[in-house]
Amino acid sequence: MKIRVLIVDDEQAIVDNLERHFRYLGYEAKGISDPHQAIEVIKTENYHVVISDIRMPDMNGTELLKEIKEYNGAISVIMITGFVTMDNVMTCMRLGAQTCIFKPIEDLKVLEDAVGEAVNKLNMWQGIFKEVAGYKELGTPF
Amino acid sequence: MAVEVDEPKINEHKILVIDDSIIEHKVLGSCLRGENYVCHYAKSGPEGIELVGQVQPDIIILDIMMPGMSGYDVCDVLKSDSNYSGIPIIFISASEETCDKVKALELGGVDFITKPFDKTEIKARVNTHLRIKSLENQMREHMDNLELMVEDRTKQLIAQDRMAQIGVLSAGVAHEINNPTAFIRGNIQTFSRFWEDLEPVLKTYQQHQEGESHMIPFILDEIPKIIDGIEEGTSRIHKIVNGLKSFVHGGESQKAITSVDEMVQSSLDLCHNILKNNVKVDLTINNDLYSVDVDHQKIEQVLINIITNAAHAMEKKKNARLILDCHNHCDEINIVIKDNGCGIPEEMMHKIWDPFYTTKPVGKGTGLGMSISRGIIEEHGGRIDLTSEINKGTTFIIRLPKAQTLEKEG
Repeated sequence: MKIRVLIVDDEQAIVDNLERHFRYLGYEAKGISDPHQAIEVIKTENYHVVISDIRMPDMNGTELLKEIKEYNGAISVIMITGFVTMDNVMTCMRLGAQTCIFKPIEDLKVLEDAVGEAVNKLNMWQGIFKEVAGYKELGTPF
Repeated sequence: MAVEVDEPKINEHKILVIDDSIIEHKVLGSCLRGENYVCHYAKSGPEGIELVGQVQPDIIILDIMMPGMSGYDVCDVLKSDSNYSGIPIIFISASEETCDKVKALELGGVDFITKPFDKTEIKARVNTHLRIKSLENQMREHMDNLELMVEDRTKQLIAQDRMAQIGVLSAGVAHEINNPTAFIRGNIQTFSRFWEDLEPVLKTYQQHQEGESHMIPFILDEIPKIIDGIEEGTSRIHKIVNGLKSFVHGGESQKAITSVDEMVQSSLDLCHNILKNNVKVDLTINNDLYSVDVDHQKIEQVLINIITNAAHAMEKKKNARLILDCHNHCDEINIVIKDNGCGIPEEMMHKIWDPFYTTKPVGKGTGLGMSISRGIIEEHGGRIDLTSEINKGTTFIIRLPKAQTLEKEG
């Protein structure tokens, strides 16, 4: 099962950069610069991990986070951000974001590791489902 | 020449009588003696004017009808000299004409007394005018004080405003720069990974194409350096942007009544590593040091900045010594930080406050430290003063106003 990653940032160049990077690493990666479109895309196509900016002119990343978690709490949401207030960051934690990474990202490995953690969590649950289903092969639970 | 001069005691008022009649001198002298008045006398206009300069009277009793220079003329001369124009002048005259009284008052006299005068009356009028003058002086002193206070407060407000503006600008700039820096850095990292795949392919190609493209070996060598160079550049941008963040307030400053002792100790602790190896630290903190109303993190930032610079200045020094002295001075506390390092050349002295001015090698230090430090201290109503001598050392004095407490002293 290929892990699908969605990148949401109002800055197209960042979206392109991250999409390219994760595709190179072997993920199925897609980028969107319009946060309003993002929630639609998430509902129609299945994504395991979403990477999103917090400060976007059209929509606050925390709103997107909330909508994603309401739709499907199992989707891992990783927040990336430049300048941000303490309030915003605490909201992200309370709403269930996996983590918050600051721009400019010193080393993309940090982001890679965060996505890696999300994948580990998914694999863990997959293992549990397998146990429960008595070793019957399952498709994706999403 | 003056007829009689009494020795003035403290709080005594000096009265100058200008009248061509010596008899008047005696009469007035006897009227006015007894209170804490000292009387000086002049027999003519010119003599009177000269005495004004010597005696600096608090009030002048001026006869109008004098040969040569009249009282009006004397008044004119005195009022046109800014040194003496403030001295109240009581005109005396035998005339009862209204026009004379009006002229006297219009020339700037404060009163007009007709001869012969009643003793108690002239004493009462002199008292009154002296009292008015005294009140006027007090008011002027108050005004001067107020002006000084307003000037100080305005400077403080301007410094605060400037910091706030820089804060807003910095936040905006930082955010705008963060994004492009992010994708430059991100892209170069992706490219770096691509290169890991590309490099062996190029190497293999090069082996099978001997003698052909001579640039390939060069490219193989240089691409990793290009990647490093771009990464180094973005790293430095990141540090400068972070340095700008110091100008930004996350809302209101967290001011509180703080002990200077604690802040200095805390700053020294944080600088421990840079000081421990070769710097001897001499710390003196006076008892009964005033407290200050400050944002302690910001002040510590300033102290750490100065201490760090001092340590760098003393890097090559054999017996490096850092002296810190905190004491009260008038209504302020002074924190003196003195090193015996390389000092600052005279031509650089005023530049150290400029943002981005730094003597550190390229890439080390952003040069924002001193400009931020001064901004912080001025924001708190204080000042930083600096003296330095090449090869002898540098001394910083941070002055901060003492905290206003509501309780009474003592």
